[in-house]
Amino acid sequence: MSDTTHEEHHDGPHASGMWRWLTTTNHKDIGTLYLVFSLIMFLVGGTMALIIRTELFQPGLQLVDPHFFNQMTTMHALVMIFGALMPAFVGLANWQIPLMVGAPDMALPRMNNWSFWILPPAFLLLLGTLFMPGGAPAGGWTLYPPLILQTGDAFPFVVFSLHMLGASSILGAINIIVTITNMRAPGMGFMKMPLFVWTWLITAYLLIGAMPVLAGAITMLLTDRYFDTSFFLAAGGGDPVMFQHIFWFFGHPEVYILILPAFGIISQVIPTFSRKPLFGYVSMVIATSAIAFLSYVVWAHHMFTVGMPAAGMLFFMITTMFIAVPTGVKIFNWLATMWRGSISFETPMLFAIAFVILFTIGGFSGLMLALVPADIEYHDTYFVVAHFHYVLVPGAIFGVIAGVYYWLPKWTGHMYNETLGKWHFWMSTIFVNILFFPQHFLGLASMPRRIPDYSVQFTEFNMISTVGAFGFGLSQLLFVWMLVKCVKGGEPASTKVWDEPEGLEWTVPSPAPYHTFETAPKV
Amino acid sequence: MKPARAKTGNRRLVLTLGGAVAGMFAFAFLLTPLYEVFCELTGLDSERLTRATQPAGSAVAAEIDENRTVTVEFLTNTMNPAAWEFQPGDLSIEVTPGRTAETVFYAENLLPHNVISVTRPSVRPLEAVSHVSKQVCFCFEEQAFAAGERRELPMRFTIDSELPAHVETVTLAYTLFTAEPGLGGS
Repeated sequence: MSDTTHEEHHDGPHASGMWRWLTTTNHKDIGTLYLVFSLIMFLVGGTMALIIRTELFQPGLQLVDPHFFNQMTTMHALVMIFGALMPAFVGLANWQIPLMVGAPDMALPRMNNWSFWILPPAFLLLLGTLFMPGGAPAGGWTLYPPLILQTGDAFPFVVFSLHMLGASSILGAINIIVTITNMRAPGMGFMKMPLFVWTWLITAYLLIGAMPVLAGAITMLLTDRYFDTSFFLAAGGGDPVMFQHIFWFFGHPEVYILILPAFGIISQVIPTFSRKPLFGYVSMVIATSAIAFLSYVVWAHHMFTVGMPAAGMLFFMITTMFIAVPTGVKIFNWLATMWRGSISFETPMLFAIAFVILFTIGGFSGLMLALVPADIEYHDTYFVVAHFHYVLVPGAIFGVIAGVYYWLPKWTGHMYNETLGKWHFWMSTIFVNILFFPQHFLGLASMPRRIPDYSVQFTEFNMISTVGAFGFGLSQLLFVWMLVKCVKGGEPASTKVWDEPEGLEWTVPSPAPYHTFETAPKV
Repeated sequence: MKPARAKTGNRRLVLTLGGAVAGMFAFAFLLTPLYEVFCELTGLDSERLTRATQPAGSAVAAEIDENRTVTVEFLTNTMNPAAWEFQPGDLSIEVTPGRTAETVFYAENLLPHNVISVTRPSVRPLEAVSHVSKQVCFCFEEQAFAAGERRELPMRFTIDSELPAHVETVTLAYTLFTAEPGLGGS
């Protein structure tokens, strides 16, 4: 970067207004864009979730027709996964990885600009399908044929938007790997990297392995529909089950893509507020790598009911249960980090502790689902919904929120309002449990997922769940308001922000200047 | 940091990673043939194994086990019930292992024009797959139906005596599709 001309070396952005954001190659600007975009998508996807929960408040059909309900379940998942969670993590990576490894910027800044600006048009296409003849995709986010091939005019738009989203995250992943591999400050060996950087390095490799497979699968769907191929059409000699194999070969690594960076954030937050170094750093790195490796050999546990030989079911059951081992190592390391620490309970720490507890609940219900005989019973019930929402909402999303509170003072130069932060935490945590815990019971009582109507005996738990959903949704508006307030002003944050936190990001002033580490720091 | 060296380092890594992306994209397509090879090697693809007849006069097929019978159930499905009426003649029959059995199916084209049907077979349980051989089956090839035509479709098959003793029921399932691209799902 030292060969840039003098003009480009002034302190702030090179342009102003909209043009600045469109053309920026600054990792902090792009990180901000990603985070704002993901927040908007979080609210969009959340609105869809509230439509679903409102319809499910009572048995019978009240608010929406079943076809629209199915569009909502499908779009809610796609928006939350590809619009809210993945961009949030990439945004955090953009802001933090260069600061944490002592690099002046990402390794490929122009590509970085592209990988963000692919996202808004991709979502225009995806959300636009809601207004097309035949409506948005309604076959579930897993896009199983032959059902998904019955999507109306929206079908090619869905496929194309997913291609764009995939391209965006692949470009982001390449950028992150190159940055981490080549741009670390002198002296920062791989085993000295902060854990957030480590988890992102591994996540980026997962993205490179998994996203192209999704691209291939949806391309095959496209040719099946428009070019007379029969990859998945039984009539032409294809096999619809093969789609499920290919999809979940992408899909299972994908769920670790959604959680590993959160593991990294929690591994930064807990040591800071326990005032102790992270317990078992090396085992954390090994555990993360082990989870990533295992994620490629467990995919068929999503499809135990398609008819598989016993040997196959046993294989996928055992590999799935193996994942509990490295995950358990991580949980125990976090607990050991807190053990006899001098703990203080600022908002990021509260979210981190809730993450450890509630993610573990999601992990345990995952173990229950790994057991073939149990899974055949739980398959496609609300138990599955409860499981993956526990790992994704108080898991991945709480991880993002913890990271945002933790680094927000560094980004904005202002402290957020700690009282409101605690309100946000308690409301989110209480309501998220009211929202998702009853769904375990609904699932165990065999309420099917993705159905707008249900038998009357499920009414009470559904009502409780819907109340929780609205409480959780409204709590997030508090979060948005606090974010706006914190960007606009507030108590100035010191360089270190917290009490002796570890890491290079706490050596630059708050707010972090537009250009940092133009001379590499000494580690 | 020497910028020139860093740049070549970056380029090499980007190219490697880009290659990995292209490789994984190709791998998704490669999964199709790999999946078939895997199914054939492990004997999981009941469709492929039961479509072809086994060589006549093979020792196993000839051996008749008079000591037991196997219940064979027949199941029919169609992806488009508005276009097809498709029923088994017998819901189930008792078969002596090694002895050839016969049954019929009925298919009717409900549409006012000529169509061609394709039928995909399946065998359950999976351990029975390699023990079922069909000598005559409408599932071997496409069938042409005139508008409104109703037809009897004979099927002749043998279950060999090597079928594991604990398998008492074998299900032969058939799904009928209209053999036109894109119609399979509608």
